[in-house]
Amino acid sequence: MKKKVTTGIKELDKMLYDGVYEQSVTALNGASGTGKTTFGMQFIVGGIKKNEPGIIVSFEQFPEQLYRDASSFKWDFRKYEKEGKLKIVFTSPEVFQAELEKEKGLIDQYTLEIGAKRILIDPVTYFRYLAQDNGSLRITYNRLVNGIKRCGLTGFLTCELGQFYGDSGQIDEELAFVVDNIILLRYVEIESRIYTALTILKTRGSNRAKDIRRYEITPKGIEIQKIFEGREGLLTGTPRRTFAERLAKEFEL
Amino acid sequence: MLDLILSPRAILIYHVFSGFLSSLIVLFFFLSYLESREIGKIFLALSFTAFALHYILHSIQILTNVAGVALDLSGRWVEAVGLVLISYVIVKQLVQSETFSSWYLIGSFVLTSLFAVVCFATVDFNIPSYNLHWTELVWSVVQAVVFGFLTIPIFLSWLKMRQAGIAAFTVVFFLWSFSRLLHLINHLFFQYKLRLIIASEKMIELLALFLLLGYALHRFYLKGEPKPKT
Ligand SMILES: Nc1ncnc2c1ncn2[C@@H]1O[C@H](COP(=O)(O)OP(=O)(O)O)[C@@H](O)[C@H]1O
Ligand SMILES: [Mg+2]
Repeated sequence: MKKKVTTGIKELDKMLYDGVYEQSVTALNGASGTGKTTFGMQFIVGGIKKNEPGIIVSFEQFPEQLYRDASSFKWDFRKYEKEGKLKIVFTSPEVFQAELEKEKGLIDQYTLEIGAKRILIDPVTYFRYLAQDNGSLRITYNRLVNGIKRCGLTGFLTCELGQFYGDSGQIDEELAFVVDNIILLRYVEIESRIYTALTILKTRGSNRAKDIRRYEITPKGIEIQKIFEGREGLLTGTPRRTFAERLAKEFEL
Repeated sequence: MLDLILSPRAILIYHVFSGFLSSLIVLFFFLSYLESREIGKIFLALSFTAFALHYILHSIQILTNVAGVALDLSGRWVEAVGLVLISYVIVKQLVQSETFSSWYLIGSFVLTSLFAVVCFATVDFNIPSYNLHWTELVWSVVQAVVFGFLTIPIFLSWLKMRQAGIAAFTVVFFLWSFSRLLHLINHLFFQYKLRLIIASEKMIELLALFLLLGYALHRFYLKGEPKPKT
């Protein structure tokens, strides 16, 4: 039986019945700004705090931005790097993909270097643009996931969803196929305000909470809150009130 | 004590006062509508307008001291309209609901239809020789059942949402249903002679109105308070 490890977010661990399995790969799906990078960074920080060094592979063009974003949550990535607890790799998806095809590529190299236990790849969406067709995309994703597992790492992959909201967030099917866990982050519109909601769609070999929970990005990181009370159809992005909520509204003075 | 409560003057005061309280609740629902634009509140305001009118018609009846068929009937009809309006608000939500089972819907429909039929029946059969006994009987059965029936979805909603509004209305509908049931019992078994029941009926109805008013005042007091930042 494999061990479970923390995601770095206490409430999310609870929803996952004590975290994710070691050497499992989790896909974080969400539109731009839903907090995928933040979730991923918190996962890495959660590991560092437990003496599990981590690797961040970032395809963002501006390295400075990642350090700055991290420092806004009081995570000092430069310090972690100096202490050998963190390795941040800024690279292009093309280079990274080529590395994946090698016998001993980038991931293997850095894992050995710092004794990494975790990896965040942010975002894997670029591979879709590089791939000729769904078949070759699936091969890339497979290589990626196998590479992570071969190195004994626990992985988080972020995946950018096209639409902000609308019909239940279309997740990347090729990716969904190869990962162990799928987490969906969504924007939800309620009474002219945008909220963010999280739901766990899949956990291979483990139970999970099936609720749709609110979460917020606070200066302390991700904070998962209660379920949306009195609402139905949250995954459509424009939830309806439940019967109870509607009656309560009508009879409220 | 009973003599005092059931003296014609006290009964008159009771009706006038109930009419006044109902009108206040109309006002609160209307203000609440202006704020939230929930169309259901207009229906509830209209419903309480009907209840208020019913109390006023009753007061006139007592004041003029005529057992007028026309006044009595119009009072009942106005009350019926109020009852239909309030049921409409709830049944409409039930229809749109996916969480409530269809038997409840069908039940509501059958009861509402039955209610309508009974209303027509009382008029048709009774205008020539207005049979107060029969009308009274049917009337209390219908009201007890309708209010009892409306209590259930509101109560279930309260279980889910725990909001003061539906809590207040759960109690109010229950009290109204209960007072009609007392009326019915008095009518059937005591030929409407048990004065204690008559007095308690009236007190219960008044209590329900006071409860609603208390809730309304509490809400408006809270609204006056500066809201904490969210
Ligand atoms: N220190 C912070 N406190 C609160 N919110 C923050 C903080 N830092 C970033 N955010 C919010 O996080 C969001 C971006 O999160 P990010 O993880 O970059 O999203 P994604 O990777 O899904 O595009 C922004 O909407 C921003 O407002
Ligand atoms: Mg990002």
